[in-house]
Amino acid sequence: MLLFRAAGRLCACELDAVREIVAARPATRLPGAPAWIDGLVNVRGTLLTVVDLAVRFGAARAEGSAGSIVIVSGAGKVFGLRVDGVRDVRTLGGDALEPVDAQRDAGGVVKALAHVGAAGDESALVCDIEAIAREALAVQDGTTTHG
Amino acid sequence: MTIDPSRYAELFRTESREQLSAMNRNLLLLEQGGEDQEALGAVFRAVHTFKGMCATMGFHSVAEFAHEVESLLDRVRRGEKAHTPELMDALFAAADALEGALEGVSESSGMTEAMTAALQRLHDVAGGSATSEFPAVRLAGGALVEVAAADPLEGPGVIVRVKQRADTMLPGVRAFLAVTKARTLGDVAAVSPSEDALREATEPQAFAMRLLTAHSAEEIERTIRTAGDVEHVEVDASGHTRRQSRAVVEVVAEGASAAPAVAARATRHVRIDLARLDTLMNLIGELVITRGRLLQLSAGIGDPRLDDAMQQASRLIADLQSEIITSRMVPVWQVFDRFPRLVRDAARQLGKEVTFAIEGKDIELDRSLLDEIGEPLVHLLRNAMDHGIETPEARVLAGKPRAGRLVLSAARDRAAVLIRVADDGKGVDRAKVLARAKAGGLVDASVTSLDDEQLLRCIAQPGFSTAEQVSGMSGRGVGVDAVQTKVRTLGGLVEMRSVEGQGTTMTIRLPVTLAIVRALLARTGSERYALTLTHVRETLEYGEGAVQQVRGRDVLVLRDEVLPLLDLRTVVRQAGEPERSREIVVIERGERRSGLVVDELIGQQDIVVKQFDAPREGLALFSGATILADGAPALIVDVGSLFQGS
Repeated sequence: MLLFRAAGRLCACELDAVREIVAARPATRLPGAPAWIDGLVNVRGTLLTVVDLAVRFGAARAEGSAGSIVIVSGAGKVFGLRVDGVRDVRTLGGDALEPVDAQRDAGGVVKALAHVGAAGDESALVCDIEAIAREALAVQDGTTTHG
Repeated sequence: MTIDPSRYAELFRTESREQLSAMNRNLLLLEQGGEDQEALGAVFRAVHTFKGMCATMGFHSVAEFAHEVESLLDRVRRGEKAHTPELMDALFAAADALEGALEGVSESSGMTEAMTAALQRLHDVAGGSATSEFPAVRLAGGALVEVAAADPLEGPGVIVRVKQRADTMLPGVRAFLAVTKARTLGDVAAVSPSEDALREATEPQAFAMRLLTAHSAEEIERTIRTAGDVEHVEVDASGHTRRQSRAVVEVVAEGASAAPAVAARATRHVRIDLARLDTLMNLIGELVITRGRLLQLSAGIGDPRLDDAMQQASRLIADLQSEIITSRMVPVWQVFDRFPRLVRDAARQLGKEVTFAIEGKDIELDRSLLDEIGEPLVHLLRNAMDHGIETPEARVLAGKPRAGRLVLSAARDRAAVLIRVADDGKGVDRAKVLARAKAGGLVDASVTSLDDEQLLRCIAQPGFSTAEQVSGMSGRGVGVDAVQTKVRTLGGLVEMRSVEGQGTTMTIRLPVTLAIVRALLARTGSERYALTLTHVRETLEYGEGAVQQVRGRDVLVLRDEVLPLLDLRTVVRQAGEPERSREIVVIERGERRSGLVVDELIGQQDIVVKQFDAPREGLALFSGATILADGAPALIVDVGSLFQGS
């Protein structure tokens, strides 16, 4: 899994879902979209919608262009996750994963809690990329996709 | 070189469609003109070529079917079978069956149901199997390979023989040019040696072509000489008579591969996969954006030599871009050509008489747009015949000619192409539509009449007239919503004009190309948006004189016209205060106009339209996005949608 920080928290997502990691860049606002949609960015000629994970988890929007964008694919869509920074790639699974309790689950986009570190001193929120894609983008019906 | 069967499949599909299209076109001529040997010959040739292509591809069931059709045609040609309406219907049914059979055909496919049925009809008409005296030649391996008539120069038209000078530089190019010049005079039906061979030629050539033209021999010679380095041109009009004795030769070529038979056909164009053109279009789009960045950078450096080179590169990129756009353009007849057949069938079915005319066949449209526009046009043509044009009896009573007139036309209008479907039928019954609209709550009860635009809006409501049970209702709602939806996704719009008793005209306004559009860049606050020029009428300064208050709302007074004002800032829900000096873009859609206030107009620019995955929530105002010179994305405002709420 890819470990990264967003909103000061340690987060993780399946490495299989990760396409690429690029430097954060100013996004073009998408009018009418919820605040946790950072906007549209240009990655070498392809336009991607970026989800600001910090805002999604209830923190403030990161200003400027610090941090990174993790480009992920889920539910047939490719989109970006704005994060503070990428930390590490680790194999997590089995005992390290623990079902997340409702209170810590930020609206269904956190799949599990992963224990990271030698003594399990830190836990990471494992993000559900598919759920984020469904929540952020028009996935079910292709009609709202511009085209 | 390895042969990729899928490539040939695609080639086969395109070329076989052309043959079927020719077949349909000439069947119509035949039906209208009675004993037209020319048209009959053309139908025969189309079926024959089609058969050969199917056999080459190994589609035996289709080839066999085509063979039956061909045999019947041959009997008609030899005068053994008379022209009857039943015969024509059977042949049209056969054309349909062949077209249907092309979908998903494979080497192992058998006859489709439609083919079996059409075959039965053919047999009924022919009185027994048509093939008895025309056995197919078969190979042990099962392949029926056919070589087109040995001499491609045999056939209608004049034979033009061209000899190049001995000192010709680039003979291949010159020869190719001569053929291209000949095309300006008419259809070049065949070239010998083949055009491909000529183009590759490195030695001066003597070649011949068969030209279908009405021009005189002198004109032909003069035109071909303009290709340069031509020593001698000979125009021979006697080829026309030789056609009578032309024999159809079926040769079994053992072990011949499929490729040469296909390639040997005289090709007038190089076929390019549309996906490759799309890639080219994307690449040039990127290049245009990069050019913008380079221009900015070089302006910053201020080296005259660099500026010079930049200017030149910039011009070349612009030329390249326009060439690529042009290469994607196809004339509308490629889609329009199938409509005469459709109109004929629908008119018969509806018991109506219709004279159908097509205008502006050569107007060009981006390939991808043209592919999409066929379906909406079918809807509009059907509607015009179903609801617009009256029965012959009703027309006579109304003092009109028995046959209704239906015109499908294409025309250029600035950066747009207009496609019109016009009929001289009874027009839309406004009173009925108004009553229905009131009942459905679509218009206010106080409205007493509907203008054309309101009318369109009413009948384009999904299910507006399908829910209408009153018979004789001349609603055009069948599919109008579908037409409008489709046209909008293509960045166009639908307009309507209807005069009761005189007819209805539906106009589809489309951008010439989808991928690159001319747009006006506007800034509001720190954000930039692109407005497509299709809907922009003019721009002006935001002056105190022009903007007035009417009932507490800002309006724009423009040459005695009062237009509502929209603020882009409000439209895109931007926070903050508007700037002091601002500008106004006058936008229009159909008859409606409106002023759109922005902070600053940055300028006009060709933009590359990019698609993106829109967020689930978010304004449905944008028809895509583009990448600006500095690399930042900007949303493209679909100006047409701004009128919805106002």
